[in-house]
Amino acid sequence: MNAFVMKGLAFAVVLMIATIVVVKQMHIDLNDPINWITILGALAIAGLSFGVAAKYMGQMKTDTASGELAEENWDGIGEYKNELPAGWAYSYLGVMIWGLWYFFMGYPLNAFSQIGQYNDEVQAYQKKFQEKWNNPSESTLKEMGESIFLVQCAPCHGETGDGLSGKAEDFTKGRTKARVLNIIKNGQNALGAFPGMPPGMASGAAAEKAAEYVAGGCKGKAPAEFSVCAGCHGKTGEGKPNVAPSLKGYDVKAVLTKGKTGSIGMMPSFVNRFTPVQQKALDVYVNSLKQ
Amino acid sequence: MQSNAAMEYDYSIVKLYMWTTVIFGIVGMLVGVIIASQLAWPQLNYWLGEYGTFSRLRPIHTNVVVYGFMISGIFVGFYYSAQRVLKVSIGESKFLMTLGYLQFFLYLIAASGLVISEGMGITTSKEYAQMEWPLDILIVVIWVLWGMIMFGLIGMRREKALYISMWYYVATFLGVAMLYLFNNMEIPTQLLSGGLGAWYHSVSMYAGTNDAMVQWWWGHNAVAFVFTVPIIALIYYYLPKESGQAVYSYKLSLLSFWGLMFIYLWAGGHHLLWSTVPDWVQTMGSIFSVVLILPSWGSAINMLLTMKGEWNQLTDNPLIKFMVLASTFYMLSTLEGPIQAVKSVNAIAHFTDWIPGHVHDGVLGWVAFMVFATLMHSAPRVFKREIYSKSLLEAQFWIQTVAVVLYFTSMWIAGITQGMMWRAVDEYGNLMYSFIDTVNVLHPYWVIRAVGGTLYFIGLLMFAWNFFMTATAGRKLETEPQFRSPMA
Ligand code: HEC
Ligand code: HEC
Repeated sequence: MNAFVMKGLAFAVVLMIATIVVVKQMHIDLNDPINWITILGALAIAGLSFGVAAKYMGQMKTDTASGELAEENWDGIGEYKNELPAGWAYSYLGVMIWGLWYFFMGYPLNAFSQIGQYNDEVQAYQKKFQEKWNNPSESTLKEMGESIFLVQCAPCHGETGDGLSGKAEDFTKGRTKARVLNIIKNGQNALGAFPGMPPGMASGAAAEKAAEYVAGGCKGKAPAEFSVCAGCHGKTGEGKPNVAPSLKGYDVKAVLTKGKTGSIGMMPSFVNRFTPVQQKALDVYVNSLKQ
Repeated sequence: MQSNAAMEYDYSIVKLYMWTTVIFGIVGMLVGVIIASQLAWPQLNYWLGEYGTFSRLRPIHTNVVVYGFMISGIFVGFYYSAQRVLKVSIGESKFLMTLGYLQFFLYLIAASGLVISEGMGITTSKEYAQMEWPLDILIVVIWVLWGMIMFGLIGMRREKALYISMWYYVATFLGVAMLYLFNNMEIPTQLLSGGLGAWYHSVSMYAGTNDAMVQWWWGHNAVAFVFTVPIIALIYYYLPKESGQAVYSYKLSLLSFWGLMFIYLWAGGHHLLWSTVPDWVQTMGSIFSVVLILPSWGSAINMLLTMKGEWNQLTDNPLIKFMVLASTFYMLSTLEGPIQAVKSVNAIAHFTDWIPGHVHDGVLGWVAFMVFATLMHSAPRVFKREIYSKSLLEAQFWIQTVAVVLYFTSMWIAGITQGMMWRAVDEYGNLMYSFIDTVNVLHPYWVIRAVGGTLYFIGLLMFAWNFFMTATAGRKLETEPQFRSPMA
């Protein structure tokens, strides 16, 4: 190989190393097929372009023009009747044959559906996901929950879950006693997953006691004042499907399936967007945010 | 070959287009530098109210460099070289001369109308087809006039066979005519809706996916028949002419030409990969894009082999440098494009900075370099003066080469990183980065691009000065140089 080609290739290599270094800094997984095919493609572009161009540059130094001239001449410009460069001609032929083969035979021309491919890939991925996270520990769940939260929930709830100054529920404050009292007084009909809760289910000191228990996350034995509530919310506030939400923290599962439209605004439903494990992970994470 | 008696050619229209090339070049690339800077420093968006925003300036940049600078440069090359390779002066026909002037002045009106209307935000919002219907009609007239002049000259020619450059000019004419008409089928809203909307407003005759397909059939072939085909016409004339070398292979010219013509028209689908167009259309676009590498490289190789053994000329003549590097960048962009059109690569490349990077190694390295060489080779013959400064030309070459390398390498790294960050997921399958994360990572590369653009623009100003001085103050020439352009 002559010096020119070496220089051309060296430039390509430097460019590729720079690219890979930068990409690697961003923790990109180069084993991912799309990623390594792209890197390979980039390498082909840089290597072939600069390598081949450099080869011809070299010929400017070492070779001389020759061949039989055509009779015509235009404004002093002549033309040689040289043969095609063999490498070029064979590549051209090869690529054309490949193109025809690929379109009519390699590619399932009449039997391909992007939606089908998408569904297959999602299904295969879900299966792998399920196997991998079959029985995650509490801390794994929390990590997974945070990972989902940052992508799916943070745009409204904020990266720290603070609700972005009242744009959405502030998970760091959680359900305060004042708020529970307010709900007891006024009732609530905001969760899609349940019928409304009527106003005035309790009042005075009874309401205070029940609210304290709920604001504390329904820990331990329920006070007697909670029994009004227990009829719907369950003995220790664990909730009853289709009757009333869990009061042990946020009922994330219910919110995710049917959404909530309350005094702050609208929380969209995420139905069918998460697997049961992911839902659990979000539950654990969201309910861990209270400070 | 006919007699060797020196022909006198009429360059009055060439001169007019030379000035529009320079002026539109400065305007278009200045706006380019501004918008590159806006991407790096967004505060710059707010200095002229609505008129200074990126969204207004971006189409002005693309349209002025393409339809102002590039098309003017192509017409310089056409009006100059077609006369010479056909051995007929346009001045021999009063009729063609009149058409030529008419064509130029209509062009000036259309190009100015384009800048003004886009500045005002009047646009069809189709990329590279932003002009509204009144301008579209004007463009069609200009194009028909050009066709009449071209075929008029061909009819009057004294050279029996058509030189390769002429094939490419004819192809440019036909290709753009067909694609332009189809893509700009639009309905002026006011005329057909009983007075709704502004008089200049229109809607496309196609809707949704069909509109997108026609749009990118055009969009991609604007690249084919404006950035590529006529520029090949230029290099086939100017490189052998400036170097005095015979074209390496007639056969290679022929096969590359017909290959390019046949294959280019099918590749537009690669702009719509992973979109709602039918998958087989996308696949076809990918396949034809890959096949397209070879006819594209054919022309570049033919040019590089024409320079075989001419190392002295390369080191000694800046015009040869411009043209040899142009061929190299043509090879780079015509390999890069097809590889970006491979579906898997496109999954990364699409919508990233790698794409403007790809465009600019083509337009800055290939198209603009050829336009500079075209103007500078023609100037001594047109003005009968020596090129004003060789060292200035040499300096321009190096500054702009560095600029292109900065531009394309920064966008290359930025684009690949950006594409990979967009789809990077953590072990739980969730996206790792938000949009702002990519912005933070890419910012330095946008600064590098702005610097590269500024350098290129400085080179352009050097060129403009050199050209202006050549036209007005270069040493007078007694006889027309046969090959190499004389320079001081
Ligand atoms: C008649 C059944 C019923 C009774 C009794 C009842 N609730 Fe509820 N509660 C509901 C329902 C149903 C909801 C969901 C309302 C909605 O759709 O927003 C709810 C919601 C709540 C919420 C808000 C939960 C959330 O995720 O937004 C709180 C807090 C609450 N109840 C506390 C109490 C307390 C404390 C008591 C006792 C004083 C009580 N509830 C008694 C049915 C009841
Ligand atoms: C489009 C904005 C938006 C997104 C995205 C969003 N939320 Fe919400 N979310 C809200 C709003 C607004 C509320 C408050 C509704 C109200 O009480 O008025 C809310 C409330 C909640 C509540 C409190 C329900 C209660 O019982 O008081 C939970 C839990 C919740 N969101 C979880 C999530 C989770 C988990 C995600 C991500 C998977 C998420 N949200 C994504 C807007 C959003």
